[in-house]
Amino acid sequence: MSALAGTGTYSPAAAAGGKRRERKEELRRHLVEDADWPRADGRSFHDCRPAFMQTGPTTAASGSAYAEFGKTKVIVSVFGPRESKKAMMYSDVGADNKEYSSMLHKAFEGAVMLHTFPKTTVDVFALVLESGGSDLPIIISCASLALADAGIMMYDLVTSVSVSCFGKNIIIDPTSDEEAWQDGSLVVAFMPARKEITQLTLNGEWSDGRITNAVELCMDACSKLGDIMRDRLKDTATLTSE
Amino acid sequence: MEYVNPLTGFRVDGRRPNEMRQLKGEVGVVARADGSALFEMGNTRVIAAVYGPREVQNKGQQVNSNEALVRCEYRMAEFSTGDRRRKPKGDRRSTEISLVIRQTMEASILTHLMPRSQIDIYVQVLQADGGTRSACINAATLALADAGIPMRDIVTSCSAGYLCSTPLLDLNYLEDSAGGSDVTVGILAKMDKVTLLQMDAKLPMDTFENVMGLAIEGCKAIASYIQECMQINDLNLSKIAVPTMDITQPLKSLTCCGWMAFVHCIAVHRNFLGLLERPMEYVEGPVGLLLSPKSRRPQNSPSHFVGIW
Amino acid sequence: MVGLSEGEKHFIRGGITQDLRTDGRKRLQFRALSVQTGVIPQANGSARVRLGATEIIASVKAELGKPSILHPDKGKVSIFVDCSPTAEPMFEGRGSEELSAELSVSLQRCLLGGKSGAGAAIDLSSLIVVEGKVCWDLYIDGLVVSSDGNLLDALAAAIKVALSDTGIPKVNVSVNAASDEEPEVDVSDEEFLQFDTSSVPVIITLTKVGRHYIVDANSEEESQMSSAVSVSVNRHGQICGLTKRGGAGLDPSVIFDMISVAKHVSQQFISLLDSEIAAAEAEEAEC
Repeated sequence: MSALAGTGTYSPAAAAGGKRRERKEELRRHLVEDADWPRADGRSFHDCRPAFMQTGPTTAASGSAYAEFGKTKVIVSVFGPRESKKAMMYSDVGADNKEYSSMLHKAFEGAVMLHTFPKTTVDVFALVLESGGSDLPIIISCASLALADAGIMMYDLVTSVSVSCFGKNIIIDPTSDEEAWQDGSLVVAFMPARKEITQLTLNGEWSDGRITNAVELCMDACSKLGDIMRDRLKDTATLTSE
Repeated sequence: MEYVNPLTGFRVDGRRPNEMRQLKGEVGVVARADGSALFEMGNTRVIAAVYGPREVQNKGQQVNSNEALVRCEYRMAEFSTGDRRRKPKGDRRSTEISLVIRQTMEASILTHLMPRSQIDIYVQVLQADGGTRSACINAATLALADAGIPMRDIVTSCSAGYLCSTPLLDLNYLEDSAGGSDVTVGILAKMDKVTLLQMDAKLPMDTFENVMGLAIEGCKAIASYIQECMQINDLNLSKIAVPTMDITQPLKSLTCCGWMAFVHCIAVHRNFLGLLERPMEYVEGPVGLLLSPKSRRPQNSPSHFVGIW
Repeated sequence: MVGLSEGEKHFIRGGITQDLRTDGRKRLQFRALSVQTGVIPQANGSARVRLGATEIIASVKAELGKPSILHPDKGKVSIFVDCSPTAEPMFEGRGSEELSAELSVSLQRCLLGGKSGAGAAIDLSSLIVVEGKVCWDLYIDGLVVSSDGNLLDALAAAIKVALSDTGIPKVNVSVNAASDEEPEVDVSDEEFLQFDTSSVPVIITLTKVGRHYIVDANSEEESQMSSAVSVSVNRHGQICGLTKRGGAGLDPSVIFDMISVAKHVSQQFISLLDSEIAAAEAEEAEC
């Protein structure tokens, strides 16, 4: 952001804001019109970012996981099951964000077998180190890896992916630049082996056919992500057994 | 600003100095509550809901296990005042008013008849235009009556002030914020006893007596309106043939009796009832007012009403 | 909350399977809807909606403010929901915070559209007064007075009615203000701009109990649900928002089915709501 050394009063924020906005509007126009426009990081519309995930960064916690998807970096730690006065509670504390906490909670309600640890609490702490777009789905995927690392019994791993819609085009796994100008977004949390959707949120204007396409795209991506996560867990298990 | 026009004697909203705003009371507005009421004094609108008597939720709060625990919460809606309030609950004014309402109603409820239980009174202000405290107390009285909670007497409240050398009854927001004094009085109507007395600013002694006398008259007028209201709701039921039985022996199995001379039992079939499900009788006498308990049983069973005095 | 015995639970579930609910309705039938406008005279627009025993009061207040830097040509809208303890004793103190936050977020998602502003219920550019400097801030408040299930649908309906009742005062801007200073605005008391609410969506919540879906569940039926999907549909049949609630996982085909059922039901509900709004406005005009 270059500072404008003009004769008028020096106000960098307004000028910088203006430039950023122009760039974004241009980006948006391209995404709406061309179906083949390469995105800022060179992906096509239906490619996800390469995923890097690892378990065990926090040794003090019962289980933890670190995920890096392009510019988004997230760490999730799981503490529990711990003794608590309330029976079978499950609490999440997101990084100051009530909305994400409640969505995280709902995504896992159907996946975690709460009845296997009565009268205990499992605490899930998620920290976003860097936000580069598509935060909530990455938090959900990372949290299921952390829960698996902690040994909490679950029906299946929960993976999650989001899509943005721009005019007629659907792009998967948007970055924060793309998210800022989206016309609508769809977040799906999916259990690949059981083929069940645990959480689905949508905003913006969508037509029926597009929702079906988008959801199928998401489920496909979620299954692939699920495979990656399983490989990671197997690697960790073989490492510890050696 | 001229709050009382010197020529005509009318106030800002066209009332005379000793004229109250228009009253409107409605019972049974919240279906899930044991008792509820909507009360309007001019533009001030308040909903009160009563849940109880029910089991005590927090044993730590109960001081005396021989009496019922009365709790109250006062809340203002975000759109109730002219400027939109951002934090309508938990601020000091709300806590103070909750305490005031609780103490006033506690003085009238026969708490010793319902040991080890709690009664929750929730008051929600929809529109505030002065006199919210009084409207809340009046609404709470109606709601308690609707819930069938035994009380000594009906509690009514009204405010009065002193502007432009005239005592004014039932101030609205404009007159209240004028800087003159504001006296709020709450009385037990039939027993003629004062349970609440609050005043802002200062007044000379004889003026104070006049203003307080005016407020008490206002309270009595509200009391007659509330009685009318309760009778109107009662009228829906008196058209139904209701079998009555006279039992002169004290029945030890009934929960509400410690001592009694006389018991009336009225069985009412809930399906026949229109708006208000329970008959309400209020009796004057040493114990005062006792209203029927609201039945909380499912739809198709008869509910029993016990009145004692 | 409601405590149900095993027999009652069995009765509710069995009834739903046979298309006969406990109050006699069919699976896709709404409860009696009653609408009143102008209940809060101090607000720019207000409505009181009763859906069975659920009662919601919604109010719209407009204040002048500054538009955000990213969108200097648009006004701002914020939606808040408050659950009064008169509806449920557990809403006392801070008990209602979680539910209020969840409802506020769902409503914002459905009514405010995507980040670029597409698909929003209200045309935000109609709220601008002076581009970049002065715009209208709309504060929409919903108050849950009595709760008997299906809060989200009733809240969305109340907001729609309140918006149709809203009048934004006309503003006269003085022309000779310098470009850097705050312009002088004169808010007129006489003329009002009405909103066009034909594009405001309604929310239909489909509750899955057993293998069937029901519309407009009361609180007893809600306690028996396995999951619920709230779909926001506008008059043109487009989906403006979708939220899945409830713990159980759902097969994707089930979700698509629910979406189509919701679209079908929503058309009836929108026409019912519109006729109620027209009736309420006619009544108000008479008074």
